[in-house]
Amino acid sequence: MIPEEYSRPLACDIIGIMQENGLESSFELVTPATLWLGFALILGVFAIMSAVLLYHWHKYTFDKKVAKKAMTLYFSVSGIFILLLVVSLLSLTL
Amino acid sequence: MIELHANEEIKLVVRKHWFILVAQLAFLVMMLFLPLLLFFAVRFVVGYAEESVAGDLSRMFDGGLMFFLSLLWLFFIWTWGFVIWTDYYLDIWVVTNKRVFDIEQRGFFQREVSIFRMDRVQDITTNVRGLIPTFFNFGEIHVQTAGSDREFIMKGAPAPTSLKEVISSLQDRRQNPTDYESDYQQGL
Repeated sequence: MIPEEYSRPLACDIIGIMQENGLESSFELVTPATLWLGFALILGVFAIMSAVLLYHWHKYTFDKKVAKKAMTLYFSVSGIFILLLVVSLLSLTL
Repeated sequence: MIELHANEEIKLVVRKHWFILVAQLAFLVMMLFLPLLLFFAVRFVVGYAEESVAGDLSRMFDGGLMFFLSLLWLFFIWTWGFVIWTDYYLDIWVVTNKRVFDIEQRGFFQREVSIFRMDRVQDITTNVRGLIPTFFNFGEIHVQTAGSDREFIMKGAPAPTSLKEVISSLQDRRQNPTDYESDYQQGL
């Protein structure tokens, strides 16, 4: 015979614990601060990756034109992504 | 980058066949659809979950948050695509009239540059194996040089037979004594 506390779905237990701690649901875990912090972290990782990519394109490329095209494409599309992310974050958190 | 000797000129810059890049990027393209899968998985779970859990999940993955997470995922895939392309783009063989530079980029922080002289080339072997390589004409090229146990290999080389021909003809020209005379005259 399985004790009742082990047969309950885990998600319910988590929600139970959160409710005991004054949180009404798991939705409250995703606060605006968490989202912005996560976004800032991702921007940091993106900056590091971009620096590494730029270094390689500048130092090792055989064809400067190709490197320039790659850079333009990479940064313009990434810029659009970042803009969309900021807009979607603002709409989520404001 | 690479430093050329006097009287040395680049004859060919060879990258791996485009199919190698496409095959690597195809995996990323498949990964693009992961948010969609997650969305349907959540919908499926919501259908079976208890009311409170279903409510939480629905709110957690409502339109706005789902859109934000999907965008983040696309952004990650986009950046990773460039990492793959850069790895492919910087992995090259530079064939000059005197030497071959085998430049291998292994990730971002390991770069291997090997050089072999045309006049030391002993044996060149090509190997096209499999349906797709045969169809798209790419495969391996192995170059064995004198006085070295090491074999230079390029995997995924486009038109390996033609590349072999080019290296062989350049090697023949290098072994022509008149070439050496002109090199001496140029002060090599």
